[in-house]
Amino acid sequence: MPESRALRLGRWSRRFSPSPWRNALGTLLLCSLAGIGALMLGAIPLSPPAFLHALVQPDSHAGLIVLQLRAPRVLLALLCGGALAVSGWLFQQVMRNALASPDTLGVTAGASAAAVAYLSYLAADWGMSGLPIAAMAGALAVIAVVYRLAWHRGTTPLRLILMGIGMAALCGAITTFILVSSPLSTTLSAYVWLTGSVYGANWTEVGQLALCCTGLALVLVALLRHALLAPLDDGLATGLGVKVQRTRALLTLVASLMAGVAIAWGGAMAFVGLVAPHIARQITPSPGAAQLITSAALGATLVILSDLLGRTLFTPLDLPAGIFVAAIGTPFFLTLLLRQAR
Amino acid sequence: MNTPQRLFALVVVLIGCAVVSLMAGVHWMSPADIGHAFWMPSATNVDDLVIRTTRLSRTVLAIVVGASLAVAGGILQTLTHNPLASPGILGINAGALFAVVLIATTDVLAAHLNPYAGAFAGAAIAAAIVWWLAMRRQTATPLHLILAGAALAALFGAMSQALLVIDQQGLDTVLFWLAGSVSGRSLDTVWPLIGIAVLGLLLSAALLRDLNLLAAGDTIAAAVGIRLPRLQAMAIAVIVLLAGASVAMAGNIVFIGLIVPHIARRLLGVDHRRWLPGAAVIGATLALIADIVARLLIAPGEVPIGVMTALIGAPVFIALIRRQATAHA
Repeated sequence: MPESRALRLGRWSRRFSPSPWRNALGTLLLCSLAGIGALMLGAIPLSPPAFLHALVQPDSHAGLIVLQLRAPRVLLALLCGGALAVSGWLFQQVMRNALASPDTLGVTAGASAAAVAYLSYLAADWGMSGLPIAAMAGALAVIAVVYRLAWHRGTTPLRLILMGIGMAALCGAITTFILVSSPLSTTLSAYVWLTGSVYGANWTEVGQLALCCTGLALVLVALLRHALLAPLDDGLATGLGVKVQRTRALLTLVASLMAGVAIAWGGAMAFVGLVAPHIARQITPSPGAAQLITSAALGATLVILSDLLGRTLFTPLDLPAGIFVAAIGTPFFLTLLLRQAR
Repeated sequence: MNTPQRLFALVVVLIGCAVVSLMAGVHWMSPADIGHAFWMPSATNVDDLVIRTTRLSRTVLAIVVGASLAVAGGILQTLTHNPLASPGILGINAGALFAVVLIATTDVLAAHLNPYAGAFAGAAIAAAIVWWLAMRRQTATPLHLILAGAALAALFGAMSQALLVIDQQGLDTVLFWLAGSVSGRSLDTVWPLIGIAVLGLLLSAALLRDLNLLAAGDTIAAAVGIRLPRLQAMAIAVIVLLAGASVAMAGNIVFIGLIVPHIARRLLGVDHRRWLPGAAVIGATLALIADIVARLLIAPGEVPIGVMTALIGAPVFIALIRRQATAHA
């Protein structure tokens, strides 16, 4: 048991242990450092004084770069990474399995299939603004189908996961088919989207995504108690008065929506949802709000850093952030997997 | 029908499918044309050329790949004591694919290495990881293995995708192959791979009796004198040969390794000496059917065979899980 203190304010009292919150604060600090670093670095690096100067003078040359080009990008990366990590954390709680994530449950695959279909068949007529909606619809449709298929007098996490794997494979096949049958130019843009990129982000997109994320975060705050009870055995949770099936459906929905909005604006960035909650659990083992915040901050940091690497490492090429998410996440995930097995 | 008769019937169906596969396409041939092409080929007859080059090569490839994947899946299921194991689900195919893409897109590597050799290396690395996980079953539950494999597959997929985004010229050439395809490969170039796959199939035949014991449980197998680590290593080696060769030949063909062993066990019983050869035959038949449908569905265009097997296999997979759920409820 970590050290704990009691907070008292009149009749209200709470026990709270400071060390998880210290960790959460630390990762948030890390995240903001990464964000500031990403704002300063790029094709035209800015020194700290020049950076501060740019912030107060939005109309200057440097101000334009920082506020119109880099800031939306960094914020979009932050929101996408944070939302994916939160979604992964929720899925891992609900499915009681540290390997559950939007990727393994088919949410990413569903969103990808829908988005690629949109890019190939509809984008020419309807423009790119419908892409996020298509991706979100795909994510929701797949999780609905997975839920329906896994339903047999209620669901169990095991069946949900297995159905998710099956649906992910099916959606993957559909995506591949669309990619193969459409012209190469569409295929290339679809591929960049599939890898996950925050290239060319603007303030409108950031605003839309922030709105979605805030809404979902508020719902999540209300549901957090249930999310913490979700890892309990069904019988035990029922005994404690949890409406197991309803809670599970609700939490799954919130987690899918979280992943859906992140994928809708940032593309199918694999592994943030898997890796970030894992690291968070290593840092803060006790589940709780602090762990959730830690994981969100780590996810955001991961995507911000990946995007920073993507646009600075191989200039003048601007590579999708998803490449570096995979490159950073893969070795990490493998060591984790092998160490867990031992 | 008793089991040998069933096996015989399956072989007859396979031969029938192979003949149909030679006949079917944008331009249909009669069985007489096929006889003509094989026994009295003329160098100027277009029909003969079509049959002897494109149709024959894709038919042979589909048979070899289908059989290899089905047997690899069957062995993997026995080895891990996990009915959902297969080279596709556990990421072995994805590992092989990644290695091929890595070599094809990196100039330095492409100059020195054959992409096909890469397929075996990639399959071996992925199989080693799976082995490491599976052999520690006291901590890793069956579900853990499947999830770890799914994550591994997703991970290799993401890496392949990343490489292809960087090297966009490479994308066009490997895309159709990434989707799984047996078309457009001449037998002259792939015969070493076919040889390796056949070698893998023959080696698997030598393991059948031991696999029967292994299916009874690791402890029992060890108690009757099986040298467990040696058997496991050999089985893994066979799986790597089979999966690596299939991926090198035909790219990413999913679900055959997963569902065919289940069909074979249902039809032929639980004796490996019966159902594993049966799985090879059924796998080959399924791949042939998928390929035939793939080239007829949107003719003159072509659906990748990997997409077809996924469309056939995913519903079967889902039905399989639903049935298990009902059985346990």
